[in-house]
Amino acid sequence: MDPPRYQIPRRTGAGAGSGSSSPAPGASSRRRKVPPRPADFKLQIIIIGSRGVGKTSLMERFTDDTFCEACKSTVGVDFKIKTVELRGKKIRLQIWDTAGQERFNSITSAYYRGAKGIVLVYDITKQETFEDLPKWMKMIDKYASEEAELLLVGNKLDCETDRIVTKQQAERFASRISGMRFCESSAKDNFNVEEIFLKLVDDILSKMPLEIPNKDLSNSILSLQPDLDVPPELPPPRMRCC
Amino acid sequence: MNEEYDVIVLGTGLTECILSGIMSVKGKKVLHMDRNSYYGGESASITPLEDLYNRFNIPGSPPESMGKGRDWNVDLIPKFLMANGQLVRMLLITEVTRYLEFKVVEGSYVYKKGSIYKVPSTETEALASSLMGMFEKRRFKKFLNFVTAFDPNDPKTFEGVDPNKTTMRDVYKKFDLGQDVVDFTGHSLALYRTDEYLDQACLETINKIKLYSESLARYGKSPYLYPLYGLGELPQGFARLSAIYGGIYMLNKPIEEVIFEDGKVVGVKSEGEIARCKQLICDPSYIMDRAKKVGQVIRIICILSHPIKGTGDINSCQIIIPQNQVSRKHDIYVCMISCAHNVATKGKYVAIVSTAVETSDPEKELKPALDLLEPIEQKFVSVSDLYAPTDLGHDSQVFISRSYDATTHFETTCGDIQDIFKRMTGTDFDFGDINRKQNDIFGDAE
Repeated sequence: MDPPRYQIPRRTGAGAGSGSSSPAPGASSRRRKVPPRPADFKLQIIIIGSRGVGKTSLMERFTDDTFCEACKSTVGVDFKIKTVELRGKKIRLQIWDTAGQERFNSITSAYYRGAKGIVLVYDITKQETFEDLPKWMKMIDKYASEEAELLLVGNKLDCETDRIVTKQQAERFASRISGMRFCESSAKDNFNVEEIFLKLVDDILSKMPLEIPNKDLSNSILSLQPDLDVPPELPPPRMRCC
Repeated sequence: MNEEYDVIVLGTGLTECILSGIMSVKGKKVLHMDRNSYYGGESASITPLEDLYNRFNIPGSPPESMGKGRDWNVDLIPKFLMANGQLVRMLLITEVTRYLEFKVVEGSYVYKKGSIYKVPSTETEALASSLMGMFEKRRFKKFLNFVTAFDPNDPKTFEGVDPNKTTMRDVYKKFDLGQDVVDFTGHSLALYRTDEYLDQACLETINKIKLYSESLARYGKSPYLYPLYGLGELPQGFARLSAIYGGIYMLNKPIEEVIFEDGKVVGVKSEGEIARCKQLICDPSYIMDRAKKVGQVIRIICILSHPIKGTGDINSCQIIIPQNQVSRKHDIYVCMISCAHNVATKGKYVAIVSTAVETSDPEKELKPALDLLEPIEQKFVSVSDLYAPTDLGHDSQVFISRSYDATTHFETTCGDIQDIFKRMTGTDFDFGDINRKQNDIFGDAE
């Protein structure tokens, strides 16, 4: 087998500097019964893009470290939660999926609300998914918060040999939109997935004042259902054995 | 298109979206289409403001004082949610609440002899209220205690009243309640729009009063909730529920024809293609030959730069103008929300006045309400026909919803949904039908 033509960085429990997204190896074996500290921030992130570009795969790779080649359309997934630590704060990410409504351009305007970060995905092997980007930008301009951080992602980097959309094309597109970052990834090979979400969260945090309380300041907003502040105790994530 | 579905739904109004959600959760294969480019149909919230101006044929574009067009989400039909009502129950069980945020409406007012008075929401307010005299308040309290304790399954709570036979008029007489209290109870608590209920069996009224107090008890201030970004968020939330369970969504879909064979629906034709179905749900606008006009409602959307006079500084309220205060047959309602609900730009308020049309000059009928709102920056007037199905679907398998009526909340809408469910499935609707499986929310784990 050819060695991969790009690096696949592997994250360990004690990540350098920018925080880790899994508990340090020691903690899991201690089996603490103390409930985890509730999150300092809750952030909503949405993923947008044309059908089949890998939105659900990117999300599942990030939250569950899984990839399902055979899974076709998204049915049954509402959103997934992942808690990360960044800048000394515990952040609960709620990552939303489109529920397949992009198939006939029928994503609700409500989907864009409240999103602090928007991941706009295309498939580097399919030109039309790149050409669809202005259409998604139109929706974002119309319905999303003007403060939302934007991240453009060219997915399916594992199919480099079938690449149609060049990096330069995408960089040019992103440069035209104020504040939009760009990168490429592969949900299948787990390349750059964690990085892109963490970078997005980092960008969001850098714009937020540091001491915003957990609940909205105008606490007259009701969510009718309490959020799960403390996720049920899970078995420690499977560590790839050496 | 070109496939077979269990159910095709036409129109993405709240009724259709909830039914679509119910059907998808129950495992049916659903195709949901709308001719419009937006969700919500008649129950949509219009954005941006420019689109609202266009829709009502107001020439020119909104003035600069209206801020950014995209800050606006203006409801076409004015309603609030009863905090303990059926729609909230549906939202909770389906967990569509996760897609929405709400605020309590800050107060309810009632019009009496030219002025507006706060409908008491606390004991203190009740004692101080000038809506009733002192002695009347004592009698009213006894009556309220009776209503609260009343249980149709426990005859010990009846105190001689038969829930299915005793008229409400007689119940009022039993507690020696004067006209002021009767009016207040019927129109500000039970939220009837006419006085026809007086000579009907009292159980329905007792339940309506209970619903009011239970809803008021949840959050105080008022029994009403309102979703941020407008009522149009509600159908979108249920549409997402349906999509998560496999429902296919197509906006901007012109519907050419509903196709029948031997009197039964077999499919829908759109843009040259046919989608087949076993059952069809739609709003009346997609099948006008099987619906009849049952009334007319006038709604005037008013943009204000100030809260309503007499309500202090609150950001939302309801005003009830009982019919007998203005010599009418039906009450007039004012629903007011503001920038605090993300429906208007900073500093602006949206007040929607509505009532059932009784004369040939509907706008004139609303004068007492409009007078309460002056000065009004911009008005958007619509007189809408209300429809009900003539075909109930037993043979055709076409299930047509009723138009949204002039009541001030969604209880009748939920009633229509449950009625359609029964016509479609033959069984009574049970809230357990829409209970989501826990792991469907998060996918795996967590």
